Amino acid sequence: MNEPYRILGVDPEAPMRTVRRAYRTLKRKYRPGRFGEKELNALAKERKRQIENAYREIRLLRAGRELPASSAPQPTFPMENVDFTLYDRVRDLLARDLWGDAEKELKAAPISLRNAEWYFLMGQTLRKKSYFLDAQRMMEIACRIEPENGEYKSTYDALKTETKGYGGGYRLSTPGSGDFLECCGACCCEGCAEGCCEAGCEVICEGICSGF
Amino acid sequence: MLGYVRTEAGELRMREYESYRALYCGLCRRMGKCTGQCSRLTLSYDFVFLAALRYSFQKEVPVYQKKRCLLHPLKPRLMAEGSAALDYCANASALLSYNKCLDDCNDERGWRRLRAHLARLLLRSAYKRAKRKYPALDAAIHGHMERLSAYELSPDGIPSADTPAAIFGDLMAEVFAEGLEDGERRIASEIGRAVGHWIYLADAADDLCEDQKKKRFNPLLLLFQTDLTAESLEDVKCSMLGQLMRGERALQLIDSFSTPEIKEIICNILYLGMPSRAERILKETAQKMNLTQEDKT
Repeated sequence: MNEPYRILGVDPEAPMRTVRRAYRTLKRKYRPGRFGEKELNALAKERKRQIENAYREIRLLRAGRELPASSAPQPTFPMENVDFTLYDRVRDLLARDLWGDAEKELKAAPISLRNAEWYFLMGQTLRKKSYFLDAQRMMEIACRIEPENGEYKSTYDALKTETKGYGGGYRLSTPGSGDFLECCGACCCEGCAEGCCEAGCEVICEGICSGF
Repeated sequence: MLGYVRTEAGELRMREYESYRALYCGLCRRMGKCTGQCSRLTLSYDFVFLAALRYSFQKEVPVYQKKRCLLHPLKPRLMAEGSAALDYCANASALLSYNKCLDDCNDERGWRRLRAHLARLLLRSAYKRAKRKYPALDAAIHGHMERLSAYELSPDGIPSADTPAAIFGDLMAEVFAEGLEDGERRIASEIGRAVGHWIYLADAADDLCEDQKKKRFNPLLLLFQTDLTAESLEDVKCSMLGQLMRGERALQLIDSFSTPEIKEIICNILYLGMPSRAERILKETAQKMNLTQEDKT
């Protein structure tokens, strides 16, 4: 019975006020027309309907009434219809680095069934293919559809931060020294680069960068 | 090739900078010799990067000499003497420039098309000479260019900026790897692929504002459609760095560089020159399109 709470992203014990606030925020988020792409708009619409159903269900539950058969949440959002084995298969292919096959499988899925997980896995596939920009876009869409999903968010953030520090290993001009010593080139932390050439490299590097 | 692949000159040592300049001047001279005087007009710094890599792959050591040239008749300049690497770059430059003109003749409108036609006429003899030497490379470039314009005309599937960029990457992979064997071929291909991908995205970001106004094809507009924000441009920057990291991984597999200067030039371009160039392009684009950090919210 926690499903509607999961959809709204609130704790089952949360007061009604919090539930209402979450419902309104989410509804605003998925308002039609906010998403440029046709495909995304359809997804947002489905998601909005799902949120509305969840909210109605919670209200009825909290009022102590049984859920009338007709208002039971319909499996409207693609997530419910999706062939889960497809995603398991894709995850397995990605784990084995067979991204070409994973991409084929994902592209074969009908557009109406493309949900957050589809975008997430497509993002993972494109990342393996070195299509980093498309991958970021797919992850962004996945995060937008399911903002509460930790896996999507952390993968998207990792994708954005993994290029940070690129070029840091290059010999930059440092006053008073010709080349970096070997250990300075290997370490990237600030403390190390600063103190390195002045007082006993090894000691400082071990002290600061152990486990680097 | 549009002059995006350059060094961060301030971080080069004097002797490295001199070699860089000497390669540039040497390439210009070889272009005159190999493909005719007209082709010298298309000289760009991008090919110095290719030349530096080819010196290493072809195991040649550049020889420098002071010479005068048409543009600098008074003061002699240090120039790299003719070599297989430089001659290859001169030919590749002619093939690429001509194919680019051919592509522009079909795609562009108005005075840009006229300009492309004029350039095509000017470069025709250079192209013929280069094609005679490298017919397979010309066919490959032509094939990839056609694939690219077909995609640009009717992009199908999921909106993607990396698909056309990867096609251009494949094209550059051919250019970088022509005539090399085995391991070296694979390393050169991978660097070429990454650099080509990067150049395509850099060019797309550079033209973003103008393409939006004139409703022309731009892969970034295709990908982001209506949600183009400052954060999207940040994503573009990250993905471009991702491409460079790909190139860097391949670069680390090269056993030996022909001289330490050549190595430094290559590393400087890949580690500093290209990222800072990308940053500048994206900053300018954000300014032109009035995208500020507030859009992030």
